[in-house]
Amino acid sequence: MNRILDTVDVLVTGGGVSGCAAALAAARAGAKTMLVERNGFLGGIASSSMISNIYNHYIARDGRQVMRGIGVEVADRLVARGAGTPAWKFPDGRLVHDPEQLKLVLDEMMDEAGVRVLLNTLAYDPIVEDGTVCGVHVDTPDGRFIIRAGVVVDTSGECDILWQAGAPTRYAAGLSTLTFKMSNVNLEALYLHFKAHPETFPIGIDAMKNFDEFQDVWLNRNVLYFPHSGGEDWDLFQNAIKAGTFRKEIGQIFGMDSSCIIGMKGMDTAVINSQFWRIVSIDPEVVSPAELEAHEMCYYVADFMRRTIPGFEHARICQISDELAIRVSRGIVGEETFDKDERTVRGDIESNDPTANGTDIEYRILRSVEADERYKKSDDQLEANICVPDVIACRPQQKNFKLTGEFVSNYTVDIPFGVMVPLGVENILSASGKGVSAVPQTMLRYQSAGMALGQAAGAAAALAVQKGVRVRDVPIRELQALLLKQDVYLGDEARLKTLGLV
Amino acid sequence: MQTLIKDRQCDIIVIGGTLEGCVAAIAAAKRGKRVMLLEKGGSLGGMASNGLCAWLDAPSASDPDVDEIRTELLKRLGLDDSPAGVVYPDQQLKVVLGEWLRDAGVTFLTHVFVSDPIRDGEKIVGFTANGKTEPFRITAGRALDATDIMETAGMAGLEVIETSGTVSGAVKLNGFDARRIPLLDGWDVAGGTLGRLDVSFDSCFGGLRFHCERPRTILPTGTGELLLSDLVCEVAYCDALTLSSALMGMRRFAYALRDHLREETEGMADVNVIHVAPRLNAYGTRRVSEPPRTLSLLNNDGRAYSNSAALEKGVAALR
Repeated sequence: MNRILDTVDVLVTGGGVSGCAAALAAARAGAKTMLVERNGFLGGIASSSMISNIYNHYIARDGRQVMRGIGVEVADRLVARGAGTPAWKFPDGRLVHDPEQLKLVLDEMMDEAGVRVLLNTLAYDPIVEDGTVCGVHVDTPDGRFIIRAGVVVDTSGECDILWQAGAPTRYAAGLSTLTFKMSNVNLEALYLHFKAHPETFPIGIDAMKNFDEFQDVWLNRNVLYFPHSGGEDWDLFQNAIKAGTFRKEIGQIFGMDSSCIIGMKGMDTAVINSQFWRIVSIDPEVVSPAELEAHEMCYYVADFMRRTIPGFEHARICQISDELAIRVSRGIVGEETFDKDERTVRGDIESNDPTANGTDIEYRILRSVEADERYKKSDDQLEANICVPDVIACRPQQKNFKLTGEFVSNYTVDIPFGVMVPLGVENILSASGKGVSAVPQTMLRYQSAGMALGQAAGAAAALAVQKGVRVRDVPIRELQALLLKQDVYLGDEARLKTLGLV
Repeated sequence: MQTLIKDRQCDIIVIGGTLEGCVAAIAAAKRGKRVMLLEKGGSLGGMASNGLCAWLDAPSASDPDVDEIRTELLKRLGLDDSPAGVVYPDQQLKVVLGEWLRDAGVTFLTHVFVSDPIRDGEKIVGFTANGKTEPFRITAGRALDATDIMETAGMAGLEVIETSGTVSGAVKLNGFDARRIPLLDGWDVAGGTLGRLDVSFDSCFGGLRFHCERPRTILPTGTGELLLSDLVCEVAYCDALTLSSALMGMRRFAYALRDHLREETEGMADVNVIHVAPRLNAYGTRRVSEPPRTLSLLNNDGRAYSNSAALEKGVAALR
């Protein structure tokens, strides 16, 4: 006998940043909203894995802000409490923040918006009646309950509810990392080391161009940011590997020289992102042992850094992530699909490399000069916005640094609604950045796109309930009008006119 | 609809990767049992790790089996025991427990939530577990619930016979001057200093009241860290929604406390929060009916948490 815990308009399954944005958007649009999260905190990977930077896909190369909404609100709130880079609204900038306070900011926003939150709880086994999802099961210490919902927004990262409901999905064996935080770190000493040896700083890696940018970010924006994969071009790591005093691969774990180091001035701590495990499966029987190996490697890398990296002589691990951060794995096959050129196509894209590592592809598209047509970005020289009719947010077009010397362009790319709409089931959307319909699967990951997608999904869900229509049939103009009211950027004046929104 | 299920068999299934749960699993494996341990969070140790209760207090009585486990635990942490107990690195315990389970041949799964019990007559001999892929149906000869509030009770149909309304949280701080902070009743143990911080503070969040009066303090030697516990929240009933509100409010309370410490407390003008314990201490807040021969409940005794008690319970679990 299943008791009903609650009946809501919008149920969000998964409290990562996308899910939080969805819950907020739905609640602010007037929907009775509930959020279920398996961890004991909000923010998902961004929190658990201390991903202390939000890639600045808010600002185009010429400094115009082309992404707004909940993502920016979260950033501004972090800055307001002294927990984020004060001056982040500049091109190629990154919002570095204290990941622990991201949990706090999200808690406050849920409370203010009246979203009911259930932590340490798994939503599972969706209730599907005549092909329509109308709720989920949750088990609590008091037993099993049902939550009934008008619309479900599945932001579980891996489309768990959608997959269980039988919606078609794709799988890309992406990369994952177990991050850790070290205390007693002397960030100034690390900066001074690179100041004395600027030629050893990597070029064009991970949206950081060179030493000058590294220095500017430290001196003027109070952030130390050594880019992810920078260690592969860093003599301190590479000499040790050649000398045999450091191994970059042990067991299932590799890339231990990837060495991203992020810290905020005045906090004496740094988050280290430095190993990979390829997500050959998301089955707990495969993941749990790999997670333990990655955990062990955190200590291996930390020990090496203590012996080798300036500023880390007295550093120690003070916090370790409780889960492997999955960059990309399972996503839906949607009504529309986002492709490697950031264009949207109707229907599916025949992926000629179904087990491709999504993150490898991203690396190749954006960072290397690759002859293989599967990975070559077609439009590095494009000088125009990429527009779609069902735009729910914009972001700057991404560029290949090796070919163009830039990471983002002055032009924008529209993010479409249709990549969140699954096939074969009604009244459920997939809104995690890494879980939408994209080939390669990686194309819309990163927190900024995730929050934009979540916001649109939450708004669409609320609208669908109000109008009594299936969420896939939500009138796009009305959704766009609602998003404009929520301060989302959908294009300039001319564009809004074309869309019939002014 | 996804309907595949993965069937697994073992001798003992342990629900809850708490310290007592891990010890029970290890003790069973040492006796040649095939053991599976399921944890709904991402890591092992419960209060002993992410709960920031990082002091292995002295054992209450001498028991050779408990002594053996304790000795091995400390050896794996790279620490010596001492009569007053040992302060150890809370985060390192997570990986130590994982390696210990692996060495003992225990299969453990993280991020899995148990649901339906599997019964053999009255006896519960297993559970279904859910995660990101197909559910597992794990059938054992015996089931142990090692969670703090008997998480399986609801699904197992056990009646709640008593609840109390006080849960507590903890926070890890740095950026203070250890020589100047107002530490009361400070005493040195191996690996650190214990005591209470001379602070009194209260606040309200989400309709719940939070307070701390001279909270317990652990200062691990040479780390620059301070672990503060006994951050108390009064709740009317420990149901899932209330516990969620309490957990969220506790985080906000920890930061409000940080601000208070910065303003009011000697040696803490620049104190920072490294992290807030992502779980509350809810030990002793629930008692459920325990029909004999159904399911072993390690924490159905209303006792407050201690690491030494956790070791004792783990060892005694299968006796």
